[in-house]
Amino acid sequence: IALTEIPVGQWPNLIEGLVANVTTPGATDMTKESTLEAIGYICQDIEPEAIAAQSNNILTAIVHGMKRDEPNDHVRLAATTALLNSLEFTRQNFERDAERHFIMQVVCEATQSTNTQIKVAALQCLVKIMSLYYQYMEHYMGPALFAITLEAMKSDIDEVALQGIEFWSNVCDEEVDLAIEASEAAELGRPPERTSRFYAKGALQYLVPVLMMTLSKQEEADDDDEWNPCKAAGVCVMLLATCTEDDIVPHVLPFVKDNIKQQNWRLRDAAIMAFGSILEGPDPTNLKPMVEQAMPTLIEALSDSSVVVRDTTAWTLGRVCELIPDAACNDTYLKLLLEALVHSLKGEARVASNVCWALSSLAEAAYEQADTGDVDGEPPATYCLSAFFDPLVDVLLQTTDRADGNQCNLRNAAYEALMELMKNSPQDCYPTVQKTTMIILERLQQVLHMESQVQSHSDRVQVNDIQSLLCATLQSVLRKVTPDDAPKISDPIMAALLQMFQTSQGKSGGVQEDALLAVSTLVEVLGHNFLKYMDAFKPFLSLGLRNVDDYTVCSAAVGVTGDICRALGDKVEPFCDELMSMLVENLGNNNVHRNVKPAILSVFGDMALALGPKFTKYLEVVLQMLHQASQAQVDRSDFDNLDYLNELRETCLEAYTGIVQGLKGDGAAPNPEVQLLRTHVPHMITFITSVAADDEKSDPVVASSAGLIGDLCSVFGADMLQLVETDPITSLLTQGRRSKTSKTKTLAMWATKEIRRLKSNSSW
Amino acid sequence: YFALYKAKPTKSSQHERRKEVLQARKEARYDILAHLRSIEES
Repeated sequence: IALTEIPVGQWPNLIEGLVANVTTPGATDMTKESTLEAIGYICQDIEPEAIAAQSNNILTAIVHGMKRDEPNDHVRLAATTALLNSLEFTRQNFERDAERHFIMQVVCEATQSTNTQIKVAALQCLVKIMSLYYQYMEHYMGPALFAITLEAMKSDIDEVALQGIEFWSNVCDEEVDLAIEASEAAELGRPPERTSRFYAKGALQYLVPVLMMTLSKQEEADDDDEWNPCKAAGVCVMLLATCTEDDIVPHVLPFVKDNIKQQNWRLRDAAIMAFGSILEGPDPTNLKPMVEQAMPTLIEALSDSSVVVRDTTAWTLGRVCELIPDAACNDTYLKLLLEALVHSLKGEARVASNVCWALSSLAEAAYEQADTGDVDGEPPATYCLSAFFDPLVDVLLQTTDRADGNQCNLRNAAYEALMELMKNSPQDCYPTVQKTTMIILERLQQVLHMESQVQSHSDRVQVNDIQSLLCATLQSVLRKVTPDDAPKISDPIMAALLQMFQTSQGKSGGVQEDALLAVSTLVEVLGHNFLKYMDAFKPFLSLGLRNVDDYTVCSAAVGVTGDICRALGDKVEPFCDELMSMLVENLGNNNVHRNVKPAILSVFGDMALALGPKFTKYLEVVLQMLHQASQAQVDRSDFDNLDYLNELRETCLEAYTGIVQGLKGDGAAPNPEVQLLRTHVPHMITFITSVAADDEKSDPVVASSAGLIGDLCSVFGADMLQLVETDPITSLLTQGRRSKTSKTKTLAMWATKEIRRLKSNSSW
Repeated sequence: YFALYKAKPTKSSQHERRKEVLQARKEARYDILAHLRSIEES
């Protein structure tokens, strides 16, 4: 009732009454406990601003119940839990020294309770206080918090140890954020608003030994869903490494060296886990020799007698391939490593899943390392994985077919590795890409036959997952297929995709989205050759565009529409009336998810470019839509809204650009139809001016604005000068020329040149 | 912190695939327009 009434200003004396229940001498324990529980529930769920004004009263009641001399543990626990729930809106109390001292004293005392529940709740308060009020903790860290939390980490009671570890994980999170703030401030030449006290760095020598001890307390039969101190310690070491960078290495390395070959599997596993956990944070150049030295031991550990050790080793090697790839992609270790990985791929699902991830990273690293010669955009001729590529693909395809593929995400991981290998394949691996394309197509046809055998919900989920994965793999192979080969294989591929659309209607949005994304790739590789599929595909494209209930499908369909316009050019004309009508309808439909709408605006630009002067029949309605969209405003307190506004503006600008360029045409002289836009030019400039004045505009918005300014100048000539020679537009172009993104820079320089050209022409 | 334990960042999730396709579309639009505007990146 309080949650309903307090936010609308009703029941004003409730909190006062609750406080009296706790503080009135002689109140029964039962009354105090129930009241504090009620306060806790209210604080947990209410909007902080609705109750912030009552924070003093609430704290009075809570602190009264938490005090050391409170004889009843139930009352003390209820009070401590209530404090945990109220910390968000007691900021003003934390800002006042005396009140903060008092709260901290009461919380620290509660951590020393012999009652485990009170101790855990008080430690949870400390964890949250550290996140919310880091800046005020200096006074308490040395004398109290450090000792309390270190002691908690050593506790034999898991719940207590977890909170101790969580406290330091939170410290790392805070200090990583502060380091980012500091570097951003330095870049802007100003001091940061908040500064790090480097508690994690200072505490390393005390924390690491305790964490190493905790790492070696693994459960023999590990339950994935169980969170325990051993797992928390692994995460804490990773966060400490990110936060303290090179400083952590000398603290962890002795433990790794002493234990990596121990008889006891728990110690071997802890050593490898510790090693894997510090690979991100320290400078990779410093880590590389150390990792190279460890490679033979790690490769050997993939065959350890303990499955826990094999699992951790495969994960650690995955981290090596991802973070320090040069230590793996070299003449000394690559062959040995690949042999060991392929062997482990046939092992337990949990181990094999990590191996797949390692192979994904290896493929990416090898491709990046490859010599591309002097030809930009061309795949390299060969790379270090070429000799192993075909057998690797073979063994991954076998893995995707494993009966236990649904365990530990193995099937997904194997397909993912396959996709990375395809995406990152050099020219000499093209025969395997061709072969894989045909295998994926066969599998797609097989899985479509399985549709009739689906009996249970779990069968359905499995078939959907496989269809999605096959569509995704198809995208990665198609992107590699040469323009000559694409038309040779497109018929059966399109037939399979059309059948998939047919059978997936009303079933899984995920499958339809992936199938639409696969069509996008096919459109991209076939270009105007996609025209022959349009009649067969159009009904499914329409269904996608009308799928208001699943916006991901609708969004994918909108994207394919744009792709088709760009690929077919003016051959798309016979389909445009129907497509345009659905796009316009979606734009005006409040039930269509807002994320779909910017993509529709972009498609207007694609269609205008494709149709050229023939776009004029849609001009009035589209310009009206763009006018409306360009005036949208959002609640700027939410970052997501701000991102959305930038995306909407960018796509409005893209649409205007497409229309200007499309109507103008690519001949030497502009088509006369472009003059139809003349009356809309002032609005476009007003829009760009308002975008220019926005401090929170994104870099792509600056780029698109610059592009449109240049286009308008090149089409409408000297008349534009008085419109574009204004302070907001001049500073927008200056900002663009200084951008770190080369495309933005290029467009802003080009627009500036167009303006200069007009000025020099007019001065004659 | 549960999700961070032995985390394996995924590269080809549906979300990643969407991002890749969107990026490819942006590039394609840019290339077409750059051609029409006769501009090249220096």
